[in-house]
Amino acid sequence: MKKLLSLLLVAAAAACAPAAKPSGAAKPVATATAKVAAAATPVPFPEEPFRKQQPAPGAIKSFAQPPLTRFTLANGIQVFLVESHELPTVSMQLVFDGGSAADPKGKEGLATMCMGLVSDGTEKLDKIAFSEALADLASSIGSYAGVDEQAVTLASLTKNLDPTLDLFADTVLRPGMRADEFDRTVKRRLESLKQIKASPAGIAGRVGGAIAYGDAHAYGRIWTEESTKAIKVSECKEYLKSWLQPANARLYVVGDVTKKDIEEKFGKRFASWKGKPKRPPQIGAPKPRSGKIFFVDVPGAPQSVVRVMHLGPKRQAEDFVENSLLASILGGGFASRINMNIREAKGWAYGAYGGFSYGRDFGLFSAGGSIRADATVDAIKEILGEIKKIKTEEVTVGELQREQDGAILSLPAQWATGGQVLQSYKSLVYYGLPLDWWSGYVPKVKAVTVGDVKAAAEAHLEDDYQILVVGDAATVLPKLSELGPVTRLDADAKQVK
Amino acid sequence: MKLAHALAFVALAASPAFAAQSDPTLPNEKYVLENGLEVILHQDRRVPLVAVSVWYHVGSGDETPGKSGFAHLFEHMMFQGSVHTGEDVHFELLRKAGASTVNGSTNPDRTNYFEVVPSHQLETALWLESDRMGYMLPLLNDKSFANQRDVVRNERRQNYDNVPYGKERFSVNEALYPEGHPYRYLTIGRHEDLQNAATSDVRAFFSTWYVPANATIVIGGDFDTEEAKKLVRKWFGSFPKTAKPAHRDVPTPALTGGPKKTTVEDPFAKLRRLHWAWHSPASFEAGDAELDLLASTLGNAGTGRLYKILVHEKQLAQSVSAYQASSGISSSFHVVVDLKSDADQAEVERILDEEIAKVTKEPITDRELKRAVTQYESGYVWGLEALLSRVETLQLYNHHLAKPDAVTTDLDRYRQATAAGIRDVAAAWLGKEKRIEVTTIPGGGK
Repeated sequence: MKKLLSLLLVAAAAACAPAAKPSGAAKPVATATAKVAAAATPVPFPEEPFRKQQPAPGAIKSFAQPPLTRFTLANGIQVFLVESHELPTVSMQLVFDGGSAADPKGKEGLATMCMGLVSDGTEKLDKIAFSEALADLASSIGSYAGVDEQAVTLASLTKNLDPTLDLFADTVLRPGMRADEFDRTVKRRLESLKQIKASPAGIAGRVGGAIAYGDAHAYGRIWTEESTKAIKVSECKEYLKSWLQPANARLYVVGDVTKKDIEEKFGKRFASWKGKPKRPPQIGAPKPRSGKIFFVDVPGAPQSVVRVMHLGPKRQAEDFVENSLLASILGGGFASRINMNIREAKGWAYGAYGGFSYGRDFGLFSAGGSIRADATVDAIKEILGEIKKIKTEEVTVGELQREQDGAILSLPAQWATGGQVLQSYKSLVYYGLPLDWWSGYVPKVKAVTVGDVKAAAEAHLEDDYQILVVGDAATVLPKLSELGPVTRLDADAKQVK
Repeated sequence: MKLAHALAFVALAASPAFAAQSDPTLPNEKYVLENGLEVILHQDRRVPLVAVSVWYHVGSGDETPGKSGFAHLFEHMMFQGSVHTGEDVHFELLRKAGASTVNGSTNPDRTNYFEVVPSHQLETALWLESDRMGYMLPLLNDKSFANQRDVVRNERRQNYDNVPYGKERFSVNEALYPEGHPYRYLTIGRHEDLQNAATSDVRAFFSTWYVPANATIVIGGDFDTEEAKKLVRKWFGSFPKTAKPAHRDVPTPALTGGPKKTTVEDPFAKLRRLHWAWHSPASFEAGDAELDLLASTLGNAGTGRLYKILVHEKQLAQSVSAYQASSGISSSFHVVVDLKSDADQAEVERILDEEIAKVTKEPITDRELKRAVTQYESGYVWGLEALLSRVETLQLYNHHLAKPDAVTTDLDRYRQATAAGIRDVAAAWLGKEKRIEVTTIPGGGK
């Protein structure tokens, strides 16, 4: 390879000769450029005054969020289309209400399992034949359940859209739901559960919700070996009948298609599909588990996964923009206070964060990181210190300006591809926000003052927080106990001695 | 968002067997400054963004014994500041400028640095990249170096030491590469080598490798070409000319007398993992593409031979994967199987052994070959949508083939592969005596 590479370089240098001296060729300078310096000898770089100043930016170009086409198919499916004809590809998500929030007690994991099974073959094609048919087209079809939304998805080259839609229609309308495939799913999930319960990050993801939202809440319930074994394939078939119905379904489409294509190609295949799903499951208010500090032991773990959590404002809140800017300054990006403290000043982690995340009707504040075991408690104290500081002292004008500029100027990047644009609209639909929500965004961001950020911090950062630590007990627990009483949990979020 | 000329689809005449195919193209202009810095411009005016990427043609494959992990640790130091920009303000300045992506990465072949910024901020990106190319050492200090050494060690803990199957990744490379070979300790490196690194190493590494003549800058997106050339000349044109540093000669490793077996105890792992690997042809060398196609045929979920037998029919495995890990000095071919808790390991090993022997003796079917090629072709269509992906693809081809837009050249490797050719490559490289086998078993201390 060495030899080949150098040969290629020589060949390319020759081939590139005409282009090698364009108008961009280097300006000769007085220092050191005349001779080729030997490698490893530091070569002097020129002192040039213009380097001392950050260059003035050019004129900002305006860029509006690309448009969305909305229409409804005859059977009631609402379509959200972003046309994008640059690539010969099409992506679709057919989204339904329902999801794990509807799991019966004792059968946690039902929605995830049943929806996963949907794309494991059709009445005609078993899993392997279905996979091969898709692979021959270079297409993919998937399915998943979230907490309160679930979908069947498709990705295809435009030229293969018709045969892929045939398979997609079979997937949605005539899924295989075979007993042997269901059995494989059960076994696979039981094995993967063993692995999730053995890694610090897996455990934190599993028990974090049970603490912050409560064991009984849709976002806090945990699927277990017992709940997995309790589910039957007949229940999956029932589940699909209850939820995969066209009334109130949403079809999100992006790519190289038009409204007419969707009406014809999709409409034709789903023309006779009629029916109403159950009423969407109601997700009540979260009820955090009682207790303040929680610990799960992973003996010998060289790092602890740390989360400081409490319930937060909703996505639909009036002060959402203020809350976003607050979160950005506190723990949103590399330059945020928590990361600069924990990583860049202390060297205790590869990265640390803090900010708000949102369910459909509620929010959560969470801050933390993967912290070197012996620094775990010091890092928690620093994170709590940063939270306290941002509640009691105004942020600097420079920090706010940085995040305001960053939020506004990075908008084109958020909408650079059709897929990103569609996702942005999908998110607005999910939260019940108007589809022109972004049109009011820039002036709102510009209007925020340091006083507004402090007000947001006072309103939404609580003194009453919960802490989860997953790590090595011998290293972490003695110091952690100094912060207050510690509740020890296992990887199923059950209390242990 | 009308189609500019950025990602046009052109009819392809070069490949008679697939004459109807059309490939994405990556229009670009390449030139070289007098100091040796390569410049590649890829204009795409659809969205007001520019992506700037600088590749230094040095990676962990250039590390010397006792310095494992250093190329990557050095990469971290390139974000710590330079004379005219100030200390540790790289991310802050770019956030304020509206950057959406800012990062760097290190692999055995190269180290890259990139940012995507609104197009009116192109010059700030060039200011930052030129400043760390030319003026990084004066700000180098022990405090910041010690901090990043800790950060990198935490990165290793987070991605290798505190996760399942992190240990076996080191074991696989230790089995494949002898002491002294730069791939032996992975790009992340050993804790003891990282801890022993010093600022004097940073100075030496910078002076040797981080010279304009060893770098390529690609600017992609919404810019005026003449203006971009003027800016490149302003920020990089006065930099000194040096020789292009030479990579040391690393003997191509070879294994005989295998299979060479290692067992690893991993306290985070709950399922046994069988990881088999072989040496294989370097990136873009003859046989490299054939092994990519073979990997798909063996390992893809749903369609791969090993998937069908081990995961689907016999349910002996939780998952399988197969991949050709392409690299500049040489590559490696891998088959990885996670066993079900109750699976008979000997039976799985016997099946793996048989199935791999089979592809060294018999050609794969036409349908398998066509399917694997189709997957690669469509992967390029989907994979080149994002501006930064296109910029990085130009870098990759320029690095390995000295030709920035080599999409068709690259795809032709796959389209021209034959089932008999794949069998011959497998026979040449995937023999049992050339194999290493690393078995992870749950348990043990950390």
